[in-house]
Parts: sequence; C-alpha cells; structure tokens
Amino acid sequence: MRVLAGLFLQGLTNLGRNKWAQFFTLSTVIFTAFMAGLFLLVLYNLQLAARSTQEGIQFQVYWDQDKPLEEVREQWKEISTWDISAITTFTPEEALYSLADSLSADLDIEFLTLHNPLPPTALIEFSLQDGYGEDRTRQVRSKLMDLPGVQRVGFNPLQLDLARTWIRVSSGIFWPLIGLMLVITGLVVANTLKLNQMQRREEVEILALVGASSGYIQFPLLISGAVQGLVGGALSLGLLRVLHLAVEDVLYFPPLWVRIEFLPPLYILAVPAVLTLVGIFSSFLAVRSRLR
Amino acid sequence: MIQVKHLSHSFGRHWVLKNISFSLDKGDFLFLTGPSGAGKTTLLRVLHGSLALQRGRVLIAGFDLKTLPEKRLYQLRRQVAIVFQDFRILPDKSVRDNVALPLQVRGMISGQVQKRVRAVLRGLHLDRKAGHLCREISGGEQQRVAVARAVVTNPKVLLADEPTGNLDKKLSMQLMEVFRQFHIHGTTVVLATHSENLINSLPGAKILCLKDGSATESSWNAGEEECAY
Ligand SMILES: Nc1ncnc2c1ncn2[C@@H]1O[C@H](COP(=O)(O)OP(=O)(O)O)[C@@H](O)[C@H]1O
Ligand SMILES: [Mg+2]
Repeated sequence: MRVLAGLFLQGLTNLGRNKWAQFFTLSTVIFTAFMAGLFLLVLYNLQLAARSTQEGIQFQVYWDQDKPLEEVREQWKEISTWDISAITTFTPEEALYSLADSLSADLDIEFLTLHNPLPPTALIEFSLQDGYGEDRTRQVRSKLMDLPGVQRVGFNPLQLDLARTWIRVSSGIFWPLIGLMLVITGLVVANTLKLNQMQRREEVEILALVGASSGYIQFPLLISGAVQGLVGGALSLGLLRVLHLAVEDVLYFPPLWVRIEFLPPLYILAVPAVLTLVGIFSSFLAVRSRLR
Repeated sequence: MIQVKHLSHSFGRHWVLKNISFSLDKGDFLFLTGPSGAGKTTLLRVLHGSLALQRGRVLIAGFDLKTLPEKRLYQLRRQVAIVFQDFRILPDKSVRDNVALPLQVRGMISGQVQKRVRAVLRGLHLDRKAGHLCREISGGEQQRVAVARAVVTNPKVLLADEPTGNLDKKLSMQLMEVFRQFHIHGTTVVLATHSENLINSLPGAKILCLKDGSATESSWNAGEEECAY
C-alpha cells in the first residue's frame, strides 16, 4: 500500500519534470480533443436541427415594407386561426431590436429605428402529419403567398428534401463519424503521449535492469498518462465551452431562431473519460517493449 | 550457481557465441577474457536475461533461462546484478539516488535504503560525491557508481563488464578489492576484462577465454599466449 501510494505520487511528480515537453504534449492533447469536441458539437447540433425539422416545417414570411402595419396585424390574426402549431411575429421594430440584441454590436439603433430597413415578418410552424406532408406544405405556402402584401415566403422544398435526406443519412452516418473521430483522436493523443513517455525510456530500461517488476515500472507511467488524458480532456472541454458561449446566440435572431446547444452531459463525461483511457493505454504501449 | 551448456547466440547470421559450456559454484570467481568483439558482453547480457536465450541451457541463481517467462525476469535480476561497460546510470540523478534505485524497487523503506547506500558509497570512496549529479562526476566515478549500484543489494551473482576500463591502476586495484570481498563472502563473480594485472591479482580465479565465439576454460598461465590479447 505504501509502495503503491509512493508510485502514485511518483507518477504525478514525473509530470513536473520536463516542463516544456509536458507543455507541448498537453497542448497537442488539448488541441486534438478540442477539434474532436468541436466536431461532436457540430454533429450534435445538426442532429438536433434535423430532428426538429422532422417534426415540423417552418415558413419565414416577409411582408412588403410599405404595407401598413395594421393590415399586417389583421393577417397575423387570421393566420393564427389556421391549423398551425405556432406563429411568432415581428414588427420591423421588434425585428430590429432582437437583431441588435444578438449582434450586440454598437448598432446605431436610434438611427435605424427611423430608417428601419426591416419588413414585418412572421415565423410560422406547423407539424407534418404522416401521409400528406408534401401536399400540405404546398397548400399552406400558396395560401400564404395569396395574402395581399406578402412579398416572400421563405421556404424551399429543396430544404425540406435536404432535411429529410439528412435525417436518413445522418442516423446512418452519425455514429460511424463519431467512431472515426474517436479513432483519429485516439491515435493522435496516444502517439503524442507515447512519444512523451519515450523520453523516459532510458529510466524505464534501467529500472528493469536493477530488478523492478513491470508493475512497479508501469504504474507511475500509467498514472502520468491518465492525468495527462484527464487534464487535456477537461481543459479542451473548457475551451469548447468558452467558444460555445461566444457563439451560441449568433444564429438566434429572426427568422432563424437557432440556438446552438452545448454537448449533453453524457458526451461531456465521455470526452475526458475516453482520453484518460487513451492516456493509460498509450503509456502501457510506450514501455511494453522496454522491459527486457 | 551458474551452469551454461551448449550456449550459442547469433545476431542475424553472425554467430557470436558458439557452443559455450562452463559451470561455476557459489563463491567462484571467473575472469572472462578475449579480444574485443569476442562476445564477452553478449555472454554477460544473456546471463542477465537482457538478451533472450537462443540455444543451449543456462541455469543461474536457481532460474532456468529457457523457461523463465519475461514477466518474472525481475526476480532473476534481484539475485543477479550487472555492471555495464557503459554504466547505464541516470545522469540527471544524484549518485545517492542511482545507488538507491535497486533497493527502492524492492520496496525497502527509505531509512534502511539510506543506511545501505551510505555504507556502499563509503566502501567505494564515493561518499564525498553522494549528492552530486552523475553527469557532473568523472568517468571513473561514474564507473564506481555503476559498481555500487550492482553490489548494494548483496547479489548472489555479480556480473561486471570491463568495470576497470576507465580507471587508473590504483583505482582498478581498489575496485578489484571490492569484487574480491564479495567473492570471499560467497558472491559468484563473473568479470569481463582485458587487464592482465587484474587477472594476476587473483590467482585462485577461473578464467574463460573467448575467441571467435568459442571458449576455452583454463587457469591462468602467464606463459601461455593463447589467452593473451
Ligand atoms: N545488438 C547487436 N547487434 C548486432 N551485432 C552485435 C550486437 N551486439 C554485439 N554484436 C556483435 O557481436 C560481436 C561480439 O560483441 P561483444 O559481445 O560486444 O564483444 P566484446 O564485449 O567481447 O567486445 C561483435 O562482432 C559485435 O559487433
Ligand atoms: Mg564488451
């Protein structure tokens, strides 16, 4: 027990020995894990988007800019009586403010309110019941187009098709992609950590020569590897979260209203866990051939 | 203590050791001599298990190298210590830490380790260098550190590859005295050397002369030029 604790400590102190090598190793691990996390984040959000498109269709409706707002409000009231699941409306002013909000730049709001370039808009969602999806989509669209003053209905059947295809493909490709990413991350991280441990190959050989058991030699290395993996994974998640906070709202304005979600808890746990295992495994490989 | 029968070893197609046989009892002292490239180092490395046994049989300190699995090699090395020609000490550690290593890997508690290390360093006149880093001491001192590390565990078998190669005559004789002490107290010693002086200093020792991969066991005979190099 005393020996084990000693070896554990040794594994930790070994990390402090060659600070630059440690720094570069950790940077590589963090960078690789960060890229993997980013990839995961993008995939995850695409998946979410695909799922929401599957459940409903959105039309972005733009009115003529000079159409009196009173008449537009009347039409909004009428539309909400249709068989739709939601309608979100924006007067030019509301649209401007939420746009300014999401951009958070020094927009000259005062000036823009006087010369507002935005038209009244509405975001209409309805669900696709099985069977007559395509037909209903076309119906609602032409009904919207027929309203006087409607300038444009932002909906593209191609988009719908794309969404559908994406769902079909993604469920088949989502896990293989994640698997591929895991393998690549694993290889890069494992190799980096392995090279890092190779610096200590002389020491490992000498320990073996003077009668150290392989457990005695490997345990501290495995601890170092595990710590590097864990710390690298955790820091990369931290970085990813910072990036996420910076961009989560960039698409959150009318008519997109897409909020980028962060990774769910399972993934958050998985990143450092996987990297820790990779760290342990690569340390194991690094010295395996050095014990004779 | 050591039995070698029909041992052969090759690197690629080049047979370095051909059909070597000899045996040593507890407390025997063997000088391993022969010209450079004769295979002395190779033989010592086979005995220590750092080269896998290819042909023949080797029994050493109660271990059969033919059947000893790699993961139990460390048990052999706790009985059989070696001093390498190139020392193989850790340059960035102190003399004290290098010598303590074999005791630490055996799990000895630190107080005892320090006591043993101090005693051995004194015996090798290294006590004043105990705190120095190994890369900051002379070649001769490094060589003695390697010897100290080998003897600190009181091994059953002590293998040494030209351990006086970097030492002047006086230090060589001092070191030889260390080996002799272990020999007298029952350690089996195999010492590879070119030095006639060293061999002459221990008349009772056995001599094995390697040449072209073959070995002739003889007692030292100054007139017999066969084993002079
Ligand atoms: N790892 C190796 N690979 C290939 N050849 C080797 C290796 N080690 C030693 N040899 C060869 O084996 C022969 C014996 O070497 P060695 O045992 O070091 O001799 P000595 O110690 O008697 O000088 C030499 O010809 C050397 O070139
Ligand atoms: Mg040699």
